[in-house]
Amino acid sequence: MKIISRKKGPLINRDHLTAYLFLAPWLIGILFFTLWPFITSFIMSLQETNLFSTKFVGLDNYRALLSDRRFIKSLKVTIKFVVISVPLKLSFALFIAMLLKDKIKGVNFFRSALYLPSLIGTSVAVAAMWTQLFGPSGLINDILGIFGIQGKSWIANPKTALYVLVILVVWQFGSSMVIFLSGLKNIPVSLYEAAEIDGANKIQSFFYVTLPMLSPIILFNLILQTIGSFQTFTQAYIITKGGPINETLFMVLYIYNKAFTASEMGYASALSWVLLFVILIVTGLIYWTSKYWVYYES
Amino acid sequence: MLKKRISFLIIALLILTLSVSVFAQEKIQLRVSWWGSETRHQATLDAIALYEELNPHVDIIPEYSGFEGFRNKLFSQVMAGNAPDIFTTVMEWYPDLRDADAMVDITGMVDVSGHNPMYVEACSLDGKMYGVNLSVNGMVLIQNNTLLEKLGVEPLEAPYTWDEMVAKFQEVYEKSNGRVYGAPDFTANPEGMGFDIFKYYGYSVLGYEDAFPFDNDKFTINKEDIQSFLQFFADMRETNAIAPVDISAMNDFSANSLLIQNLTAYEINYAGTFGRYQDQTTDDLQPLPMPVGPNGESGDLARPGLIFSVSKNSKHVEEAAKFIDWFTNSPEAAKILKTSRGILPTEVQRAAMLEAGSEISAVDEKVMRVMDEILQREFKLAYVGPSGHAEISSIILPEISQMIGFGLMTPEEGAEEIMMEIK
Amino acid sequence: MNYKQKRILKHAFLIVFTLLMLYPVIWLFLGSVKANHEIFTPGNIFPSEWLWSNYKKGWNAIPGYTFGNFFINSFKISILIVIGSVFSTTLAAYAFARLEFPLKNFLFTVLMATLMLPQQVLLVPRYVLYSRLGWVNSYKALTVPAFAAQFSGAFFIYLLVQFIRGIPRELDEAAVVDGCSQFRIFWNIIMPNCKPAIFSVALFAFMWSWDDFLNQLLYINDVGKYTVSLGLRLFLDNAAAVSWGSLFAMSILSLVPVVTIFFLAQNFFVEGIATTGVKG
Repeated sequence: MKIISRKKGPLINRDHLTAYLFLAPWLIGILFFTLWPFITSFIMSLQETNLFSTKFVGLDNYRALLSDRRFIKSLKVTIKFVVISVPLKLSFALFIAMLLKDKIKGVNFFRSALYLPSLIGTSVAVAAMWTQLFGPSGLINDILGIFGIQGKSWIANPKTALYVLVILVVWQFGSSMVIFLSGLKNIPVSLYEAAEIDGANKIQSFFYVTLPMLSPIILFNLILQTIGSFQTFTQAYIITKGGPINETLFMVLYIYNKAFTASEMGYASALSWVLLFVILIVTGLIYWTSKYWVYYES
Repeated sequence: MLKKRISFLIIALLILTLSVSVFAQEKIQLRVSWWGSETRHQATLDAIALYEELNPHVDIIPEYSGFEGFRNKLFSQVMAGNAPDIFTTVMEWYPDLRDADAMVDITGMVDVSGHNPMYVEACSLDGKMYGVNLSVNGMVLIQNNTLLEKLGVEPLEAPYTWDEMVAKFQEVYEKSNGRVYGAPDFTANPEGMGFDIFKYYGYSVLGYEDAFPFDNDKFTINKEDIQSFLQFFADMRETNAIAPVDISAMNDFSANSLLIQNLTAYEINYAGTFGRYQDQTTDDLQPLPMPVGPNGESGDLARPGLIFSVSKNSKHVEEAAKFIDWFTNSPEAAKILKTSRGILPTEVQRAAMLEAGSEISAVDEKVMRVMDEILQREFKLAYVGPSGHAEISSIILPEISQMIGFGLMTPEEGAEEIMMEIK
Repeated sequence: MNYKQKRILKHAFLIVFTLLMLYPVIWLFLGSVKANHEIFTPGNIFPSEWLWSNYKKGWNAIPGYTFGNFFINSFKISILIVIGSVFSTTLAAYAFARLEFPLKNFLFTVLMATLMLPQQVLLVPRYVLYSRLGWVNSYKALTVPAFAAQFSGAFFIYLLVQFIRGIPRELDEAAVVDGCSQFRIFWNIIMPNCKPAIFSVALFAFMWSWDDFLNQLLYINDVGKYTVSLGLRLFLDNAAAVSWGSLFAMSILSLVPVVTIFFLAQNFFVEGIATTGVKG
């Protein structure tokens, strides 16, 4: 177990075996539970297939994508959604986590209460209450009515529909908040004390202590939220159905429509693999920039 | 001693399990799946219990859920070859189920002499009966009488023409000073009735006699038909007879229902949904048959509500068919099932239910009355359409209609676009 | 502004903000004690009559079962998934964060890629696979993959990797010098030091399996084995009337276990690190 022994020796040595032993459950999972569905979906992407009859068409599905205006639209909508919702949600979650990290009166209550929206998930009940808020006779319009502004449906308006969904996902900021909270708690108090001795005020210590120390967690949340945001489906599926005029037609909703409404499983699979590569590239870029702003202790 | 006792116990247990398993083998197990809400679950379970009592050799395993995800589950089961012996389906799923070879031809195994032949035909493909209708259903215009009275508008009475309906919609808008529209824009919302109204429109207004807008394999319409329909809606939008797209696009039959929120005085949906609307408001709602053409032409379809089909992988097709036969023909079943799936499919059953029926609610009575009226009109055969046509009805039509509503397209361009998608 | 004023201001802000954030939940709750015809019609947000009976009706709505059955089933599944996820993902995360092995970068990319393919196109192939294993209509299809770090496993592994990277290497290098095995380092040094992260994994695993719907629907046929989220959908037909009050009442109840767990356990995970004090 000498550190030097890691660098030389046979291709697989005892250390490597130990490592693979640690990885074993996950590796078994990949091989037995994930690989086969993945391969199947890739093969399907090369076929013209409704659920049941198939014909090999090579890259035709991928070629057809290029002239599919709904695909282009959905890609644009999805990217717009990711770019707006991810930073908003993360800064929101970090802001609340900063407020709730210290022991103040009732902090347990506030943490739980603010986590509640994320626990509700995306059920029919959520759809009902969200549309009640933003519908033509919803709360928002009632409030605007007090000021004499006559609002229409925010959800059915092509200019605002996407933002209604942005507000919904930002509202469910709980899981990012929890991760930030545990990250904030991991920052040694001594660092803050040192900063204070050096004469830093609260804002300075946030930028010079909190942010750098939290950067691995920020990176994590950023990457995960980006992936999750690219895959947003349920919110649009239960609330806007992709409309109006495709302004909320997220990629995964389009994939779902193609797979289960139009019964074009092959095309849907091709779309999925394109989405995988888009996400891979975007997260790869984020990862690449991380060496400039993420600080690791070790 | 103890050892002896234990070995005796083991032997006894062995014999017991053996005899149980032998006994169990004699019983025929049938898996039956359906979706619904608690009333339907209870009624169906009660009916199953009675059937098991009458047929002690059959053991029915109920598999029920809500509607959400039911289709995904059914198609996954079909792909894996473990679909239930009897499953619930609707006409829209027929093309895919046919392609998957998922259903058995049960012609001659279920007595359908009491069923309306048009419905039997609708459940068949290429002369093979792939399922049996569980409820007759029809499209209705739902009218809010309370709201109309408040606005001082005379309610419509059947029969009425398309022009009279549109005029009524406009009157609602005018009398309410623009607060209430006649009806939602049915074409503008993905869950809306737009495409089904289009089917009705083809027979009632465009003069088609059969197979509109598609038969069992392909579309049969041309650009002019679509354009005429889109123009009809564009005109209604122009005169505020129907609500603008940015209100209508999210219309549904619960949280966002324009009818329930008193934003419209009318709505079109299937008779089977009337109870849901009425349950959500204290206003007095009334279902009316759909409008007729200038010479009284209607376009009602013999469209099955829910269908029971027998799975290809079932080992007991005969027994499954026997259960369906009992479920759709017997008076005893009718007395238990009542209106849990809408209006019962056979005359015998409807009569049996009324006979027993001290518990028919006011809502059910309204539905039954309007269905009686509709069933007396001329009927058209309902076709299942080509595979994947749901994309046209629930995705492309609303999209095009929204674009026209927002002024991004003319009805002519919209019709061209839809024709292109059909191809 | 002195310290006390600041604190009061912060509290006032938190209270107003929390109320605002909870408005939809409050709406849901008020809906759970309303009659059906009052829920979606315009008018007062408060019920004209508080119908607590919706809770009783909802609890017993499904013939032959109560929601008690569904709660127990949900607990069984969620607890198994929590145990499985914590077991499998901590091990894998340690390997990715601290150990060197061939194909490490490739495997890490594979790990991330499993998060990136939309689940929708995997539904049917996965169902066929599990049904060949004979796992349909049992909890195996839902729980066994958790022991192999599948479903949300990749998310958890990545979360833990980020945390373990934040733990000073000097700690385990000291242990290496002391002759500890990798497993001892994992167990005695890494595990105690990423308690908050492990707690997050457990919490998310619990919550997501509690909320999961489509997988549970696909793999469970028998209503006796139904979970809460399947039970809630049993109210919902696509045409017939829906008892919204009862549905909302059960939706509110379904939140109780998760909120309670979060409320009780948060101190353990937030304060946990302060008491171990390794890094201070």
